[in-house]
Amino acid sequence: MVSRVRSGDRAAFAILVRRHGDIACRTAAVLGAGADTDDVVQEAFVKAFRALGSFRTGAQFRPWLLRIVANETRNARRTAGRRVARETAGALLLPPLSEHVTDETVRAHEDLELFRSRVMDLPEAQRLVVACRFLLDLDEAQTAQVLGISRGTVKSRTHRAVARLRDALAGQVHEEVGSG
Amino acid sequence: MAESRQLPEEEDAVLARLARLSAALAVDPAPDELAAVVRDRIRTLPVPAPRSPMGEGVARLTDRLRRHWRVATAVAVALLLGLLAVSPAGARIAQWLGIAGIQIVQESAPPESDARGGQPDPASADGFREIGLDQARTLVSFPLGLPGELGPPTRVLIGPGDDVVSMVWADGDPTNPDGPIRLDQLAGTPDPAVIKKYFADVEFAELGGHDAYWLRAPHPLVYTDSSGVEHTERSRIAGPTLIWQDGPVTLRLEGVGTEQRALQIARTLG
Repeated sequence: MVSRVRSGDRAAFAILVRRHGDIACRTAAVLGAGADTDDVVQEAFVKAFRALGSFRTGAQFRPWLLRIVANETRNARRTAGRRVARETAGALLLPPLSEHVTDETVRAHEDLELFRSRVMDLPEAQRLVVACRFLLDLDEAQTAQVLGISRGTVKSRTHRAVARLRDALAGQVHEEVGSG
Repeated sequence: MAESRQLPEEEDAVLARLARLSAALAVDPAPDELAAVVRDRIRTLPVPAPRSPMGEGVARLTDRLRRHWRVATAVAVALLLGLLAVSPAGARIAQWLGIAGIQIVQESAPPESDARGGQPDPASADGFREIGLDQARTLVSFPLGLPGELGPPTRVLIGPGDDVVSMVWADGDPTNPDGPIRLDQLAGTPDPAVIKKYFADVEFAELGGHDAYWLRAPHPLVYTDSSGVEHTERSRIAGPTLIWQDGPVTLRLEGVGTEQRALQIARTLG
């Protein structure tokens, strides 16, 4: 498909947009694009088109595209950081929980809401790795490519983030035991 | 559900919650009009030309080298020393060995403008054009940093292919004005390899957990833009240079007098 675009078939690029649009939006959203998600994705696809000359034949298109989405998300967040209050931007580091999850009890929903805020409290670098690995289901190599870091860094940040979340959960249990 | 089995390890509780969180996040699919909007926007853009087979081969080689760049650097420096001694094609081969982001090659004689205090003329570089900072941010595919320590730049320039952005502070360092400062940011690859004819001129430093390189002498910068075209940029500012990497971006800070101060400025990049 990429080579069709390169040989002048612009319509083929629209097929790539349709094929990868949803994952691009999800990526921008879980990396913190918030209300700018649609704009970020549109911009990323235009930049991807312009950069298509440097795409290596035979490489995976999706992580290559998602890296551009991730960079564009960072750009948007920097701009937004100047525009809106920190707290407002902070609340959208991860998308909200869906209202339509029916098999969750109120308690489980609250538990998950608390867990969502724990993930958002992670240091930025760890949160991004967690988002790629667990919310986008990317493997280590893809995560490394998308975030522009080494696989070793992905591994160590994942490890630290999971350890931190485990500590947070343990603290939460103790609190509940203590107060109850 | 994972919890109901009462897994012994709390890490599994973490992984189970991450899986539930992933399923429960409210993320909208791409808007229906996305493909049409993108198609309209790319209508007037040139069709991106594929890289030549030779370019692809070099890209694969550099990818491999990048993964083992410490070793590659040492090998490349050794090779370069040897090749330059025997072959006029040595310089070209050295360029191929350069990992895609940047290469450093010692100049035989410092350019005229290298006298300290010489005025930079970044606009004279091939294809560079003056641009507003906000506009530059919308054009490049990487996050543009701004060193808080230096304040707003006097000029912002963008290179051909929108792959490199140069910021110039004409008055230099506010705490110690001593000639202009220039910061180049380019979409490089995660690990720049440094090829030095005179290896002794590079000092290794650390910045944010990554290697940084401090060079006392001016040098031309060779970089490859997103369409695989190679550009050579001569130093336009006197004095030493700090080169480092921040995520997908390679940065070059020229004109700051001391390594310590350059690192200090680099750390304020936001």
